[in-house]
Amino acid sequence: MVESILDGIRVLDLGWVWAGAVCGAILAEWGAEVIKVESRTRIDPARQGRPLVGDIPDPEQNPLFHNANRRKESVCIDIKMTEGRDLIRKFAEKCDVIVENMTPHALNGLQLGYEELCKVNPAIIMVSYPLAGAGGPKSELRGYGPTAGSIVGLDNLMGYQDSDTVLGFSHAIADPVVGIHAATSVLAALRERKTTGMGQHIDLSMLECLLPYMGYGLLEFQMNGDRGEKRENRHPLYAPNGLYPCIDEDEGDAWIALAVETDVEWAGLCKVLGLDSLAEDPRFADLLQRQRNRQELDAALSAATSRYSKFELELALQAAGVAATAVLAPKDRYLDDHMRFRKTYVEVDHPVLGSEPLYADPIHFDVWKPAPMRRAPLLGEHTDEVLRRVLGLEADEIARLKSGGVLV
Amino acid sequence: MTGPGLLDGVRVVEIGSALGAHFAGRLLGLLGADVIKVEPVHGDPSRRRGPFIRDVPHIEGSTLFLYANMCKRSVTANAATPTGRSLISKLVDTADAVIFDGNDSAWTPLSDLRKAERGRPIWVEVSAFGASGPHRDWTLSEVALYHAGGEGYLLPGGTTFLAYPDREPIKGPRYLGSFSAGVSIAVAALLALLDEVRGPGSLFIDVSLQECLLQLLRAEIHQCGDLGVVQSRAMRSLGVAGLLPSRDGWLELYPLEPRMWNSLMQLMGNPEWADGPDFFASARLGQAPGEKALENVGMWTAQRPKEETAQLCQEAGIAAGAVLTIDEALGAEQLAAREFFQLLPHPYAGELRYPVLPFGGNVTSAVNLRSAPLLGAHNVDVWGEVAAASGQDVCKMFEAGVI
Repeated sequence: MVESILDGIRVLDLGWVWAGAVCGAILAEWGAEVIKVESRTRIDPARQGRPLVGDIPDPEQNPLFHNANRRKESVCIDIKMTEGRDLIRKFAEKCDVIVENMTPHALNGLQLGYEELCKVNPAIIMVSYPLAGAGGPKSELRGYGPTAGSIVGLDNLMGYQDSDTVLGFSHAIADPVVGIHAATSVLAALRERKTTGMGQHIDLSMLECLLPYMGYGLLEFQMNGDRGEKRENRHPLYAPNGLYPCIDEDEGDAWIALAVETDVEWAGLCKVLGLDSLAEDPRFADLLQRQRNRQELDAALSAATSRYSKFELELALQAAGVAATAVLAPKDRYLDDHMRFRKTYVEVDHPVLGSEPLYADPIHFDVWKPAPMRRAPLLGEHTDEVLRRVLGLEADEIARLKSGGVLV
Repeated sequence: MTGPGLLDGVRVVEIGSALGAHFAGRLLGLLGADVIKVEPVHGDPSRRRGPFIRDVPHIEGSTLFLYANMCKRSVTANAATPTGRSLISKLVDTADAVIFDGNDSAWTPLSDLRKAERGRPIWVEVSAFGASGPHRDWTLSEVALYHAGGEGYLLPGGTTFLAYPDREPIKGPRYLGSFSAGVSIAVAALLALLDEVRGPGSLFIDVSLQECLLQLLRAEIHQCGDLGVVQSRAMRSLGVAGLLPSRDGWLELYPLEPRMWNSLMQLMGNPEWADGPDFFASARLGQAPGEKALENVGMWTAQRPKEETAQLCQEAGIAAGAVLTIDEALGAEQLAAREFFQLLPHPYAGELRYPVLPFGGNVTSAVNLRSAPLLGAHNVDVWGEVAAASGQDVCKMFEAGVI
């Protein structure tokens, strides 16, 4: 019986850090068997970082890794060794999909590029997604998600309007973004393989995944040379629009996000906040007036919102038809009835960190359920089992490879 | 760049005003699907959003619409009329997948179309908070979406937060939240298109925009679980990596691995402040003696132009990138070499360069690229096909306000 959409699909995951992990995580969510190849000789940076328990660095304590690698199995192979590379070729023979995001020279230099792997399995679908793509003059560009945010111009639009300082993302948005795109490319290629029987090599660029998020600004610049400005939370049309302070236990860091377009919404907002005088103020009588008098509007609203808690205000404003939400801090999600109802996160047991929340997938089918949630693997946790099950290696062969330093 | 796409032969019908749904349709169109956008008689609301071509307000001149709707066809229909509803119903019957905006009241009369008792179409319903749960009827704007997705609270983070510790959190630029969600919507449709074993009945997929955005952070929730650590903007520091000043702007420098850090120190002439065997490890954790590592590196980067430092670092194997302006990004040599921008004509907007699919395959991938459709440009073709309407019939429907 088929249990999930990707049941029976086996993925060899050579993905690295966050970006490299996300594609395999999405495929695993829908039933694919995902084998993550790692090595103690070069531990994935996503496994590293500040330990949460104790002070000693530990590859089993990074929640980012745990989220992006749930439902996977971990196999330790040193692919710099000849026998390690042989194992990768054997896996390629037994897999449907290979995921990798190293700079192009890395796998090609080890004779593990698509040209080689396709010889052992012509039906293989391989997606490669280094920072700048597999071809082009700068294909060897190195970087992480935040580097991509800089190069495509998004960081330059991040900051407060009254300051020249660029604040950037300090955040790796390009990582999940490229991982999700990689999943779309694999799904489309799997669909095509059903009719043609052909695999293929997908050359995907992290920069090209992120750059379209610049949106209409790309056309605007071509049209009138406008390079765009930093807009913090503002929107040129809606007024009021942005973040307004609330009174909560968060010591001055509680906010409500709201946007008002129509006069009906404006009336609703004023009513909820008890601002009858504002509702009748000619300076704010219609959208254009509110846009023109934004500064006064924001000052008056901030004074009013700061008397409420963000959740109290969110509830009242949504009931009045205003698109408003509390600015969600991480801890708020534990208190959110809606997320609990929708099982937006699930708790799993982790041997090192204990009970651990992981985000569920945002896609809810009426027929299909995601594969059962499983915690992320410990480093090399499934080496023996996977080599036995998938490659059919005997125990003494595995022991020999281990003693030869291949499975580290 | 013409030829069959990966989704050749797949028809997708897109209904509603959610920009995330538009972005999903754009991606499926770029993959080769025949994406038919159903618009209200007076056009999708985003056609009235600027900036406009030549700064002239015009139904065909919205850069937002032009951008998010390339590689689609456009039909119009008035869902409030029985004939309009019937047309859309027939169109839906020919579709492999429908992307439907569950929050758009203009299309509410159509929501029962998904109950068709047949194997198709796949019905992807997109809504602010999902189709179930206490917030299912709530609405979102772009700013609210970003901050309901949790990411906003943590921006700006790390080193850049320190410059403005008392200011409000900010969101990603423009429609980044909606567009990000759009890719997850496309994943939902693609998963369903792969599924050929389900029994009769329309496959319904409920996608919450909020949950799509939560996918962008995934980790932070953990730290306030059993461990009692609450992530904040101040904590978002990687110790050795971040946004640094340069002589002509800004630079993103990420020497996250020891070998990269060592190369950087060599480039900087092995400064004394970084001496010691455990310096990198302490700097990475923001602890003494490395707690000022990034500040010190910043003094070095501030003396040089951003591109020069980025190139110097790249040549030494260090992850780095100059913070580019939009024109610099548009002119990037790598993107040009990969033909990522394609010049496409549009009857009203003229020729503009558009970013296309971020990936290509060695077997098939490219599609017939085209700019966004004029309002109702495909009424005759599409309504002729699905409703066997003649040109005259279509004219009559136009006169009667049905299309």
